[in-house]
Amino acid sequence: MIRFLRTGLLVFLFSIGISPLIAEDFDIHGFVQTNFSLRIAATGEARTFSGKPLPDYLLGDERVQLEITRFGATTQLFGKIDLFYDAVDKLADLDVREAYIDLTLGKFDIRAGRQIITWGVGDLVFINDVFPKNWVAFLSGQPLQYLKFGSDAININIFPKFVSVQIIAIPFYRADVLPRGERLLAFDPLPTIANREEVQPEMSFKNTQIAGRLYRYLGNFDFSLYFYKGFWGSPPGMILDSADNLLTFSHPRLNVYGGSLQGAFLKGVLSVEGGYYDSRDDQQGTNMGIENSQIRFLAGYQRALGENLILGLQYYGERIQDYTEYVQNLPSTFPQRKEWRHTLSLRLTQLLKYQTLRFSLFIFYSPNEKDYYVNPEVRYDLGSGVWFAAGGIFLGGEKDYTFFGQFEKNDNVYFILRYEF
Amino acid sequence: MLDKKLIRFITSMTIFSVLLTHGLAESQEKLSGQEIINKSQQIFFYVGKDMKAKVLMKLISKSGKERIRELTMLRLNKGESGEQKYYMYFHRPADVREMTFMIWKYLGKNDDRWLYVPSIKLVRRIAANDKNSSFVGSDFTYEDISGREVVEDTHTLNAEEELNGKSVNVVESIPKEEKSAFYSRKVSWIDQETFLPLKEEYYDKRGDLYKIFTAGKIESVQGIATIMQRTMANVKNGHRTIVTFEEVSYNIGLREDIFSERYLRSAPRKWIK
Repeated sequence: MIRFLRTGLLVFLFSIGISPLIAEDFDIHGFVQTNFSLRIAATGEARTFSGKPLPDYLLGDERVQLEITRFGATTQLFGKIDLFYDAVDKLADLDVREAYIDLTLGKFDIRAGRQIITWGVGDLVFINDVFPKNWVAFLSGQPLQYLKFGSDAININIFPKFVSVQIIAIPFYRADVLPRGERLLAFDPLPTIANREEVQPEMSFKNTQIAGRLYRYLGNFDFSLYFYKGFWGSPPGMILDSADNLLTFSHPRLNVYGGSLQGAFLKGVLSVEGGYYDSRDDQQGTNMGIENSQIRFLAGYQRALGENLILGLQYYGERIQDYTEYVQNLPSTFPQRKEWRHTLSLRLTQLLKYQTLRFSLFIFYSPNEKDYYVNPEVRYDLGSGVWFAAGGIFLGGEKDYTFFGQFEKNDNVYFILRYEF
Repeated sequence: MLDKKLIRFITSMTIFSVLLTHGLAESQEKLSGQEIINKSQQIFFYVGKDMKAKVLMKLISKSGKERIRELTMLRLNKGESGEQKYYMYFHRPADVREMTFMIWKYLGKNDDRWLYVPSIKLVRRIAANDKNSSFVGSDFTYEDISGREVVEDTHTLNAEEELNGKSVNVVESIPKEEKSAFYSRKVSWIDQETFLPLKEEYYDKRGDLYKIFTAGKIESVQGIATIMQRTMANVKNGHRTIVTFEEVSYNIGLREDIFSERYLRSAPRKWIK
């Protein structure tokens, strides 16, 4: 698939590249970036899953991104590729971040190809946004844009007067990138099971993921309803084969139904979003290898505290639906989660020196699981397209198996230097 | 509620009276400070049914270091209600390229603001209660871009004098609520003929001169006197911002649906080049 896409992209770039290099409707941009991240947590005797000492660097990344756009009257071609060298794994590679064609007509738009899709109103909390995410990039200090990666999809937007409609069909499944105990240490409930593999939903018509959104302005609010039919991205399902000492990560079926509102409220912006996660392969909640159905909810509020200073507060709650069944069927070696997970978050952003200097602080804290994620960052714009950012990611908690607590040995400081053109 | 209605009433009466006085401009009746500012605001922020401008901002530090912001701005008046919609698309610099920014401006309450972040295809609302924060790192505030409500200040005509060979009215504006503005006092030199502000001085809370606005080149675009270049200089720290309108056109027939999530996510090529 990847090979096919790369070849496709090269043909694509070639076809949009030949004649129009002189045309005015052709744009090329990109950046050159260095990004490293150093582990600062004490790791003690901890080893990676494959038994090696934990690497000191979570990230040693050099990359060039090229972004090419060709504009037409009703069509637009867009390609974004990264060429990178990963010094931790000593690996150079090419990543097709996005490659799509846009068709813009009077009452509807179509986007086909690899594209990043972002939904919902949460701040780093995703309820109805079930599109692929790279949590390893996020936890190891890559720029925020690398938290998301593209879906290979057809995305149709229709704009009747009463309500806008978005329908997305995703025939090719792309699984979230999750910490699996190598570069980033994470809690492993079955450390003695030596063999691991991941199976992805097979490509078939039946397995095509479908996502839909209806949205409109409702008074002074942006109102959306969402629907998704597809698979669990994170956490994945687990199938244990004790005889072969094999743990298989799977992607059980998932439907999500939800809604969101965002609008001006008390001098700030209020955001509310909720969703019901319907775990289709575990309707009774009795299968320990498949995530139970859940209710997820968030409420956030953002306002300026003064000149160039912005505060954001957010609550996020997640409830396991068939909690009794979950507890009854949990193997004794597995830690028991709470029925509710409550998380509070705070974001503070201060812009200084004509916005060339930015201090930001983001904190997640769960009052009932007593774990946290803290990310202070400073970013400075040197001018002429050059900026750098330095920050830290601090993770931990009372227990070593909770959502953030499991990552306590991955505290890191990171640095990003980028030249954009 | 009453306040909002009242403000709407005052605004529509103001617009009405502006239209009326526009027709009677020749009569040279002496206007009050409030009337001059009303008229000036109409010419400066509301002229035409809609407007499109390609804007180049030069942000210049005391040492002479320059940063650039280049954007296309679309503006639409919602009839004569005083409400407006703004759409801004950034061409430069590279780290904000393709970012789009939308404002629905109201009278008597905070605006609605949206931002589109192209790298993650994210549309989100942003808080709009910081009218005195810097607009994209320049010496202009959000309020300088979309206008401060006339009723928020008390305006007094202090003098009539000559500025650069033009007859001007000198109007002093003092915020009714001290907290509502970053200035304690503003003095405007308003051209008696075009009603455009040729110069403004802003005094900080201590009463010291803080920022100076000056209109540079003024041209007639489709018969409408338009400030093609303007400067806001911070006299305290030596930083200044020069804004040049590279292209301007009025009454181009912008539709209201341009100012929506659809076009935040995918800029209308017809208007943004």
